[in-house]
Amino acid sequence: MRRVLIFMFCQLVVCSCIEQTVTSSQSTYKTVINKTNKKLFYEVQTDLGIKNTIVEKYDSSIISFFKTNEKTKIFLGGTARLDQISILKELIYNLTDTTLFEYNLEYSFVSQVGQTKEEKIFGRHLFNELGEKSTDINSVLFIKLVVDDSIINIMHKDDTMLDKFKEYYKK
Amino acid sequence: MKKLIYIFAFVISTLTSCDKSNVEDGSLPDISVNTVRTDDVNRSIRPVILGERKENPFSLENMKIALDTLKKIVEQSDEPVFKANEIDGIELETTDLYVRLLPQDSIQYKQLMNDTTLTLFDFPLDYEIKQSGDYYQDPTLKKPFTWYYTTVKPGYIPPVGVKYEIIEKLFIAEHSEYYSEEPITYAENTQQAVRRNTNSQGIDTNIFNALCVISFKLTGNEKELKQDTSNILPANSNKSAIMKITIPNCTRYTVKIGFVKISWTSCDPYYFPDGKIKVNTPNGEVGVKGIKVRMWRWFTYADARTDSIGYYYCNKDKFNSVWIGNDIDYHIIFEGSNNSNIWTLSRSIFGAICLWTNYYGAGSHDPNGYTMTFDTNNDYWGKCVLNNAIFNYCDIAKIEGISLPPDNLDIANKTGLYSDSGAPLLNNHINWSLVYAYPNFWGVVAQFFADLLVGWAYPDLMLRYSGNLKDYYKITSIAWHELTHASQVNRMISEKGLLWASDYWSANVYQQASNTFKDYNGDGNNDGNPYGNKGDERWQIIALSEGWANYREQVLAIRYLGQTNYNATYNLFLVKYLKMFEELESIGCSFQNMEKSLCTYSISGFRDNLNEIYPSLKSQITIIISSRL
Repeated sequence: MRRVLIFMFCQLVVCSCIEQTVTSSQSTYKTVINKTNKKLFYEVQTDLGIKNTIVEKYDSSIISFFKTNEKTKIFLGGTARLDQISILKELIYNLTDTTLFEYNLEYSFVSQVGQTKEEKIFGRHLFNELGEKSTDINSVLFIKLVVDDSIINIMHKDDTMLDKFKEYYKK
Repeated sequence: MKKLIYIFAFVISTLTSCDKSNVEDGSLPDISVNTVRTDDVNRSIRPVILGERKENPFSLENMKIALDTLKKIVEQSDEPVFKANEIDGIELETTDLYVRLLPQDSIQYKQLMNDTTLTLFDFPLDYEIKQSGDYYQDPTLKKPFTWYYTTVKPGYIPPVGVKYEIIEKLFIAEHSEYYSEEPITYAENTQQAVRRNTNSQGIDTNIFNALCVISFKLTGNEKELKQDTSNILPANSNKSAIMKITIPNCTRYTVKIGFVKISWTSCDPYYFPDGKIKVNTPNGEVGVKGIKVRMWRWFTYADARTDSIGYYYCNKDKFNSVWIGNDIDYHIIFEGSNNSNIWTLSRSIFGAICLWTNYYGAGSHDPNGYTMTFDTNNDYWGKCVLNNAIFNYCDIAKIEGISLPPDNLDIANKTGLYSDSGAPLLNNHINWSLVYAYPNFWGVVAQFFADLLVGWAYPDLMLRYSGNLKDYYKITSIAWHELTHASQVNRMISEKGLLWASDYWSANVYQQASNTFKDYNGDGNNDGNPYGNKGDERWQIIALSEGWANYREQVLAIRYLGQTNYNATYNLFLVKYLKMFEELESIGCSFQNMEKSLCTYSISGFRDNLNEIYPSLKSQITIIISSRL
């Protein structure tokens, strides 16, 4: 029995040495580059919440999402896979023309190909890049959305915007 | 011999209350009843809970008492037909030993587990089971060691050092020297069949059935004998309630005892269980492929393996319908196989140290077979997904010309998909990572003691899973990533030899472990990044092996799982090499030749190997690879 106990003790020592706790983080920067002469309101929904920004004509704006976990347990030399920030939905409101495009395909890094013609056009305007120091434990992801006239052309009239952006349209 | 058949009829009619209505009509049972019971399917991992110890009807002692009883029945009968001389001549001898074994250390444990001639149970076989479960730990012993129960032949010599106890001597009729079987074809009529039986040299099964029935009765286990099953079938079922007859060879027997005429039909007296083991996936239910299904009752046990649609059929071993009763127990053992590839999903400490093989106690069910589906709320769902990932990978590897993984893989698995997996392959190369860590005498000593201490439990792969259907593709893809490493090592062994491959993989395992402790971003803490950066020590090994595994993971996820947006890694350093393989494939380099060319320590070596295989693509290959040097 003593041999078994010694064995158990040694085993635990070995195991505790090969497991360690590190701080992991995921950063996603969503940049909207507006190449049109329209004023845009951009909203993005992720598993961390919803954020939005106004993008002036021929301007750009950045929205960032960040999450961290100080108690990520990893083994020596293992391939770590962490739950990345998921983009669940994107909405682009063209404030100038009261039109909207809604992109509903979930993605985190590689954009979904899209089923409809509109989704495919939108998907072609998404550009992904990893940060210089991005790793699987500390990922840094830049997603660029370039809005040009082809995106403007797939937008649909949305009269509810008059109510949603009441303050804007009052001016 | 004819008389013995009558004796069995007499004993059956007097000692049991079997419903004869089904047999008296002499009709051929023609159905396959696969009862689907969903009880306990959605449960967590739980232990086996034992009830009372049962009096063993198969013990030699009890069987001898049963034989004496049978002889008295014959003697006391007024029917001349029962004056059977054959019974007097029977002397029962031990056919099997019911034993238990306790390994004293890890080496003995491993030795015992590797003995394929033994079918080991971690719980005693002569106890009531109050709760079927997935493991049993003898309360008088400390984990992880526990007694292992099985039957062996007399004269069995246990492994040296393993504690060994004979619990009881057994008489199992089918293992007796008296026992023989003769098929009776359907074309024969009753008279012919009986006549042929009479001429046979062996003693008919029915004498043993009679013995067994008496022994079960005398030991208080008569409730386990076969009962009428008509009441458990749905009311609207148009199927006969008679057990499934797998070989439709039946004979109708009749005997007149005084004024009573007893008729019965002896059809094929065996159960050959079959069924399907399935797992729920985003694409619906699919078979759990290549896993072992173990069926047992008392000291009769049999293993069958599922095929690529999850179907199993117990055709090698069988269960005698009289001795088995209405139920047998089913275990689903996560010991997978696809041709020569075998893998074991093991319960583990911290998901890294392999302990014992995972099995799922599916409970007692119809001896005709059992069908079940693992859903996400069953703790074993993820193990089924992992198992299928490995099975499918072997098929894909063959199609794509990739090396198969090593023949035997010990896989430590646990929940926590968003944790880390790995392919240390410690049982499939001579690992000297610690010598890399401490390149001196102490490194050798440390490696020796590590092997001694936990060598028996070394994992080849560490795989993770969750209980979430949306993670199905990720669980599968990550398993494929690690299997790609396993294939690569196997390729290196076949191309360069075991020592070369061992040095390569030891260096890789050491370097990645070492990198985990480094602080790359300068925040004063370990980053836990095993891959490091370009220019670090052994960065080229990591770039090639991890770039390749990530590339393959991504390709397989896209092509075989339809995950068109699948991204294998967020590591910029590795993405460059992932794309390198992507570009090489686009110009016509095959997976097989890329894998072969990876048998090198450097990127330039990889380029040279590939150029040698594809001289016509030399300039393109050089351009693609040189930008990553």
